[in-house]
Amino acid sequence: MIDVRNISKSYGEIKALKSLSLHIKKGEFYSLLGPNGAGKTTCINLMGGLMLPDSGEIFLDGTDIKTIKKQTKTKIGIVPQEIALYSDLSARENLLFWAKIHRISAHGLNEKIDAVLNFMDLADRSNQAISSFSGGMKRRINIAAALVHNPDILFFDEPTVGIDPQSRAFIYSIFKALKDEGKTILYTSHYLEEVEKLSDRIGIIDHGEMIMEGSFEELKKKSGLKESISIRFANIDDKLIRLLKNTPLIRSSLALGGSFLNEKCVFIGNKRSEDLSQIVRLFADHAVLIRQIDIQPIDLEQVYLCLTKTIK
Amino acid sequence: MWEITKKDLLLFRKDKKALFLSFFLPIVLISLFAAIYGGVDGKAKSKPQQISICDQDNTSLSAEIISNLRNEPALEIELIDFEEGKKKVLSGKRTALLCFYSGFADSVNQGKTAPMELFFDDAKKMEIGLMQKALMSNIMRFVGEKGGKAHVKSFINQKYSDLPEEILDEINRDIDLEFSDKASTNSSFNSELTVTALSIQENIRWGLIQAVAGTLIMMLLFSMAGMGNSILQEKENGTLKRILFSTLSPYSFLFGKMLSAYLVALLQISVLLLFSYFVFGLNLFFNPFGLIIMVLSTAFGATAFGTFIATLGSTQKQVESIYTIVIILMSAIGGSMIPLFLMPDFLQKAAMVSINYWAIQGFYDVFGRDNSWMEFLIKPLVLFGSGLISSFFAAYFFHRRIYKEYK
Repeated sequence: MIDVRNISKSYGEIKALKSLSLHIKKGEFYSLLGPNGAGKTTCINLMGGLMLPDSGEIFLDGTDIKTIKKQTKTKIGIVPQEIALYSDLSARENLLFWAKIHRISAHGLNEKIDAVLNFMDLADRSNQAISSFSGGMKRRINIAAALVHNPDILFFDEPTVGIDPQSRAFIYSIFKALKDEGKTILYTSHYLEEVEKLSDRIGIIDHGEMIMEGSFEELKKKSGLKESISIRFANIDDKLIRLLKNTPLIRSSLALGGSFLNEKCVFIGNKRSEDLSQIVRLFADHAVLIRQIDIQPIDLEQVYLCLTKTIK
Repeated sequence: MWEITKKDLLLFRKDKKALFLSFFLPIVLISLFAAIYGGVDGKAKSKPQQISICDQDNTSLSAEIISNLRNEPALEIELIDFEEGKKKVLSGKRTALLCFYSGFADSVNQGKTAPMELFFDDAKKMEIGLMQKALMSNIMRFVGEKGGKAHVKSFINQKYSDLPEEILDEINRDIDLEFSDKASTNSSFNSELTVTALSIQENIRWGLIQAVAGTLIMMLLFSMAGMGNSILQEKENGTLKRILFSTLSPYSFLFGKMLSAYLVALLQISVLLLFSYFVFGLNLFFNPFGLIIMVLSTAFGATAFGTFIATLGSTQKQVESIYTIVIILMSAIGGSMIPLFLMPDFLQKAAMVSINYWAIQGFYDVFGRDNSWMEFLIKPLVLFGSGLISSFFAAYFFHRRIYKEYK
């Protein structure tokens, strides 16, 4: 459905993308992860036909993006990071506008808008100005504007930034429903829990390059990480934390994406039993009392931190 | 406290808009108004008043007066046929027509009321007031002198007809000498200048027309600035980017916005004119077809100009600063704030680069001037033309400065 081949893009001296390739199959939920400035938004802008790459090729549903026709563009829906809507217009007026600029015929348009508003649970606020909406509602109508013309391909560029957990949970259910409908989705987010649950495949980019790509299980394998060991202490001070951070064991954990903040230390490693015994010995040697130890399966955030840190 | 002061001064230094409004704009306005009210260096010349003269008398006296008027720096003289002269005044091309009727010199020589008349454009009452002094002092010097001498000589010759001829000649010579310079100051002579206002219709309210046309175009430019600025607002809030992802072309976006601004401009002009019609009694039906053309062309010129300015900046703040200075300058030199005749010659010429000038002159035509269609159409054509040029540059800069950011 989306085929990106060796694309590069520069803004003056800054190389935003360096020979990046990725392939998203029809009906696939693909997440693109990377730190701020990694090139995720540039990638979406290129795939959406907003800009052209300096080199490389992009095919959308078999059509070269350079020769993209209006008909193909109507297959794309984009949800940008910003609430890119007209705040003085009502939800319905906004959706009407976005539907019309995507060439949706007037016949049955109101019914389509009603359906999208219902889907986003905004039907009861349809005639109110968006400026009166809460942050979560604004995010929902921002997504609705991308769905109103029923596109096959959806680009979500950090669509859940800055909203409360309830709204995020609702939007998560929307993504799931869209995935079940068979939409092809490219998704970027810093909420890796959502990404882990939703994604068929994940691509990790940094400095405009694809670091690693695959399903979560594949990425986990590639990272070599098994589990994370989380330890809480009863008596530890900043001086001791600084001292312990310089020990080889903790230094290697931090390098893989582990953390050591206040009274909690998260170890990340790939040899659980050996690690655990060494950790316990290390803290005993420094007379630190351990209050609690949790051993958890590794999550996407730890894999992501490990991969972006180690490959850097 | 000092830290707060330092921080505020630092913020002020970094705020280009504040710097612009605090220093640059006042300097520009002071310079402009100084030029208008007397010249920056005191050497700026006022534009001479353009007077047509019709000499039906064709005598050496009328020729001498005309020759003397030609040397008056405040006046620009043109000899013309009577009907043609009146037409030029009615069309606003000349401020006034001075006519020396047949028998003018004879009447002056006989000390009778001299048949002469000054016709002026009713729309230029204030200009006539300023110009009349220069005109009158020149005419009266000749008329008063000749008429005064003739009057005194006639009185002496009748009263003392029994005196020897050589004594009467001596008296006449003395009269010639005595009245050569003083006559013009003597008010008792029987020489008057009939002053007649010319207007195509009675009761045309030129002051109201100036106020309505001047204010209308200035406020229209401010509204169009707001509409133009919405292009950058769309860029800043992300809707432009979202639109560019759709099937809409960048130029459809730009000209779509221009069209909405144009419709708002048409509505704004119509509302202001109707308000002036109902509240102040402005006659909208003097030249209704011309008025429609003026409304369409003024709205187009202002809309395209507003859009063009919007494409010059990268942020709304930048563009607001450009709008402020451009609109105030254009309104000041174009006649919206200060009547053109009060300005020095170079500013009256500079006025022609402003939309305000052409719009105001066009509205003058459709509200009361007797211009031919060809003469009138120049004004809307200039407005349409400037609108087309502005649209072209708006498209060019939109592509280069705004759309290209996404490329």
